[in-house]
Amino acid sequence: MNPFLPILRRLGAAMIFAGSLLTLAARDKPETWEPVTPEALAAKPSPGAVEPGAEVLFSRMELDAFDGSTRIRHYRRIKIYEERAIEELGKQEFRMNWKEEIKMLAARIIHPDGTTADVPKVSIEENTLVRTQNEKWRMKRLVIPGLAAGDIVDVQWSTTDSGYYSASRFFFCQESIPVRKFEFQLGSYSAAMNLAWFRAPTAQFKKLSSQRSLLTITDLPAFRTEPDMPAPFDLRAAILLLYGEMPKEPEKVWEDEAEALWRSGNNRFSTGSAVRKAAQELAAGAGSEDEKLRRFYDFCQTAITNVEFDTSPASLEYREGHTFYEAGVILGKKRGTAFEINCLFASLCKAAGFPVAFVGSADRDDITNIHFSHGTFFLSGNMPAVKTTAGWRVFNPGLRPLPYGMARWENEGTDVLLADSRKANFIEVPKAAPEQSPLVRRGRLIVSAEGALEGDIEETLGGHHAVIWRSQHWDDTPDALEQAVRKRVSAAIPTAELDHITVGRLVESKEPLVLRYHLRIPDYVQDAGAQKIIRPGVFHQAATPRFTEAKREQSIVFNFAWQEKDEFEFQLPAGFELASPQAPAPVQAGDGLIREAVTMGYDAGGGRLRYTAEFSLGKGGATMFSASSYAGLKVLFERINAIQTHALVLRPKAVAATGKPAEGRP
Amino acid sequence: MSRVVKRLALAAFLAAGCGAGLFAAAPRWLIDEAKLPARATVSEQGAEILRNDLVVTVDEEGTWREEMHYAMRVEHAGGVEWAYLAAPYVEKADKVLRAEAWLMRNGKSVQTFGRREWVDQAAIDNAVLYSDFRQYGVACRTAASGDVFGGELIVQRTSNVGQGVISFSQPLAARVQRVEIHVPKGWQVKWQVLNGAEAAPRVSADNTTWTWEVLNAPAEKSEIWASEQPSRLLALTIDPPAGKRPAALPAMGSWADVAQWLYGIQNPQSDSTPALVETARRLTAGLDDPWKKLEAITRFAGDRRYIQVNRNNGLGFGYRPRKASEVLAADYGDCKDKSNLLRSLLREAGFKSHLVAAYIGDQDALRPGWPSPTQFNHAILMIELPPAAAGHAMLNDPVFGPVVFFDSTARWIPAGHLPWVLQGGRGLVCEPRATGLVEFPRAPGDAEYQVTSRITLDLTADGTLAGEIQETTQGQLAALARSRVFELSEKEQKENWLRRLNATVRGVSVESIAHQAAPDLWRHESTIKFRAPGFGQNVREEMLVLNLDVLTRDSVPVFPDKPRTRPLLVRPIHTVSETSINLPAKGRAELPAPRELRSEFGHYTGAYRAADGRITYRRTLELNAGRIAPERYTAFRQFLLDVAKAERTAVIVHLDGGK
Repeated sequence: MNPFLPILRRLGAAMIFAGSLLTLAARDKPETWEPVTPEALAAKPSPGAVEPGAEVLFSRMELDAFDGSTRIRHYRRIKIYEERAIEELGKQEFRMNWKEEIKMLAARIIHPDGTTADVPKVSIEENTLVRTQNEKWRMKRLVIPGLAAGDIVDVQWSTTDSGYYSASRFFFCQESIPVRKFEFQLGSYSAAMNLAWFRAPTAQFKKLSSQRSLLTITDLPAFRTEPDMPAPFDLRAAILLLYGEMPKEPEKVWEDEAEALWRSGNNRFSTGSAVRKAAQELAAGAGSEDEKLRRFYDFCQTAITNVEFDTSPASLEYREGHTFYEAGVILGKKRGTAFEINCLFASLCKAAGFPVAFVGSADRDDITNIHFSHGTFFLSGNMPAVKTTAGWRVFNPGLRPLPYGMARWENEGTDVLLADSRKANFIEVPKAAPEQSPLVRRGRLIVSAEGALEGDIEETLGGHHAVIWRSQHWDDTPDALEQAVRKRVSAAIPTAELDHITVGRLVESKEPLVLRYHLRIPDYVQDAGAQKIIRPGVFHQAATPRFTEAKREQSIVFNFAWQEKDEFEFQLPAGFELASPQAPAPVQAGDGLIREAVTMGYDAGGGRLRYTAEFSLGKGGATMFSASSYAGLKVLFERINAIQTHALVLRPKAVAATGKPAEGRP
Repeated sequence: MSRVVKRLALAAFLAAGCGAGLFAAAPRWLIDEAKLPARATVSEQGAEILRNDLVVTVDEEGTWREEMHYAMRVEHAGGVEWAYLAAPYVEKADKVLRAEAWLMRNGKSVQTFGRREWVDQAAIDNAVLYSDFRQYGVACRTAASGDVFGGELIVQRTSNVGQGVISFSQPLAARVQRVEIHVPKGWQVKWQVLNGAEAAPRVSADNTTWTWEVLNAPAEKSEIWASEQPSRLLALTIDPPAGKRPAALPAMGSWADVAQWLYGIQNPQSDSTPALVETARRLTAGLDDPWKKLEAITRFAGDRRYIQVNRNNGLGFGYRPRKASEVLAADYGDCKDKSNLLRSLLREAGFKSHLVAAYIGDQDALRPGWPSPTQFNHAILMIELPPAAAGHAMLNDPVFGPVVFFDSTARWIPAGHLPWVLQGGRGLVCEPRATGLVEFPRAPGDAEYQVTSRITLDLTADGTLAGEIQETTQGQLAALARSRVFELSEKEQKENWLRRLNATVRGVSVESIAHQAAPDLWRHESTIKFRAPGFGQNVREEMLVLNLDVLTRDSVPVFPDKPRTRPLLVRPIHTVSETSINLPAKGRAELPAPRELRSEFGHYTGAYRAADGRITYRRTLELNAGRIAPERYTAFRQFLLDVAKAERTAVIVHLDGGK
């Protein structure tokens, strides 16, 4: 069992401990409503807000603890500007886990003339979503009737947790509609809870008394999602309710975290006799330290059954109620969890004389930059690192499809914290080069006189492409695998007909994944009078440019660098020849950071066209682009789309001017 | 919560419940099932049902006790998701009496799932404020290939009306499915198989035990454009002897019985209060024309939010609306609530109307031969028209005279029209005078699903394009267009148009959008202005290749190239689009030949013409509405492929001044 908790568990967990003697009941006052101000009645959308259907005028949370419980009182005031917002905001829900209680839930409507109407209790219902013998997960739903554009909605409730928080928690304060003012008041809390915030430039923190403090954030724009955008914690304003003392020296936080990592991981690397023997045998004759590491890596991935990528009864039984076996035992059992395999790898390295340590890592799915004092809370994973003559290198053989020398894309480009008993050191996980994640399609295809295209295709997926596909499909039924291939192809070519589908090297990491199938596209050729049009970018012929929106708010992030290569040979229909067998001019940006190039060779006599298209993105690790570069990037991808959908004209041979073969490279 | 999230949440809970202990030994029947040899080949789903038995015992009070014995084999690791057992029930009305399951490996029980591992989950979605509907189930995520998972589940039901529907169509292939009904002596079992082949029962000599057995049923595959109804159902009505009917068990011998029963539970809910009277008065103030009054009141009912409150479903079987006064005060309701509110409001305005029970989803799903309220999943209203409004009648009913039907749930469908999914279907007027099902009128497809587009494009020599689209939608499509205008901000609408245009016009930017709805709300016009640099692709500066399928690309539905097992439900398509573009100076266009395709499924034309320095591409596509049998699927798909192929046209413009 991996002792390092995933981020959500880590952030959500709250242990219970004894606390204050104040009674919660005394604080559960009946609801009182905030005064209706002329400003609220007259409120118009905040300047700069893009067509908001509604806006949060203020949102307030007050956290207190009493009698062993923790309570957050919420008060929200929302102005409805347009009727379309009612469907979403006129119905709200509040979820409770097995130890939470929603109390004092009440709502009212303030009409534009200042009159108010309380939402009747009959419009508030509690549902038990899930019930097991020991736990209940419930939800309260509230419907606000009679809501119209121009109205204001006040909603208040309290969330009571039957225990004190003993772990830190996040709250997003930026929402899908603008928030004019957000307040978080930290009240009487016997434990040390502190407030931190990020992505909130207008935040103001004020100590109200020795026990109470107030955080105010104003003018939060609506949080909108865009394609290829950064991770949510890189963008979205949030507050962090910190359990424990506020760090006096931010650097110390990382030192403490590095030490904690060291303490929990250090004893996982065993170099008993079995491990030493295995390391010695594996390393025998290796010409370089890289060769040694590769052999250890391959051994861990292929000689040890990874129970997280195996569904045999033995592996299923192994997983049940399992804790942790050290490397020597794993060698004997020839079976282990991803964490045990990582530990075995580190142990073999250590036995071979390499310094090893765990690293704590964040996911780029959550956050990219952890270098701030509360960044430790985003460390959700761990991997072994090995010190080589070139420096520390991070490995993850426990992820069965991951090739040697690569990290998951979610870890690439992030700084990971090295376990150390004395100091905090970070290592940057390098980004794989585009050529490490190739996607190659090859085929010999026949264009029929009727306009269909037909032939055998082989797709090979390497690097991240293969890791993602294998991770998703490794345990699919044969039919599900076929369906996955069909879905993949039909996403690019809606009318594609596939048969003889095979998937090769499904559970593997050294060699690319191979998808083979017979492809037929009945409506491939476009009719243009006496002439015909073909688009040799078979898998891109129906593609649209990647970006459509005129404006962009967030920077653009591609998950990883990759390259694509299409190599097709077309047998053109008899009686036709290419009118203008010229390849489109290549495009590239930033010295090849992103590039697309096509070469063509045309054998007029044989009626054959050779087509090669190469695309590459992310050379030198450039996979992130600022929002200010969006306009250029959009145009670039439109030009790439133009190349990928490039049309060639087939004309009847009778009207051909010359039959001279032409080499197409411009 | 979306369905996907709900499913994931359930899976997580169920999976969490799999750390089971070892309690009771597996029953003999399951041990025997686990010994059955596996099939030679792995099925598509990676799992098969070995046994699916349901034993129903009906007592003298009409209470059903359902005992389920279920066993399935995981044939492949990918089939483990099917290792679950669950039963729906209605809180407070039904009771789960027993629930146990086992995982069998190599013929032996290796895991037991007792009460601790089962999960009781609400059947609730986004539109529900409260629900009594629940599901009790267990899932096993630890099954390996070859393992057998099975269990026993006993549910006592009082939430039915002596009727039930049992599906013989499962998502997995099923070796043995058995339904056994035990009734008290003298009770009658009436049955029929809906959809699919007959399955005659074995009946005991004393007529108290009825057994149906279906062997080796194939898996029911999920297919697009298919009815949601399972393809093979056993419908049951269990009746006591004459004079011995329990009070809680209504007679359902005929549609008149069903109408009478529904009227009995529904009619008292159509109450009136001063607020309701005042609302009706306010809505019709200043209106003399009865049709205008009707339009105003129906629009009000349609505008109330759709929210379900599924409370006390054991009583009235979920067919009893809340009181109209409650719904008016709450300002929300479900289909029957809103229809019932409308009924009360109309009554205050002088109209007679009646709730109509209907089935939404498949017009042919309702079986006239099996009178039962369980066939309905929707409620609408039938409004009797006074003579002054009789010209708007959708139907002249022999009992109720000229009437219109109105669906309060379909907010954007105005009075005088019905949603397409109801048209041609059947319903039951919940009124004692009703003796049979009524058929909802069907409007011609071209009036209901028509879209006409006029696109004017102006191309400059450098390939920049300025364009204007006038898109007129008619009928159901106009309703859809109005709903989108309501729901989306202008920015979101522009983004939608960008995505639509981007399939054909690279680098397009939308400059303005304007909308206009016709007074009868059954026609809607949108005008969009846009620009796109680089629209025409320059080939060696000698010719331009122009694609004029600006809005029609990908408009022909694509169906998978595999055998079809279920009928295809086709909605009509009636599109006319005309795209015109100016020719660049000295440009000479080479036009594709006109195309026309006609078949039993529809009609397609595509034609280009050049005149006055412009090229015009006119394209029409009509797809006939209907139900296409699986054996005609290949022909239907081929017709669509032929259309898609015929659509693949482009214009070559030679820039050589006419050489």
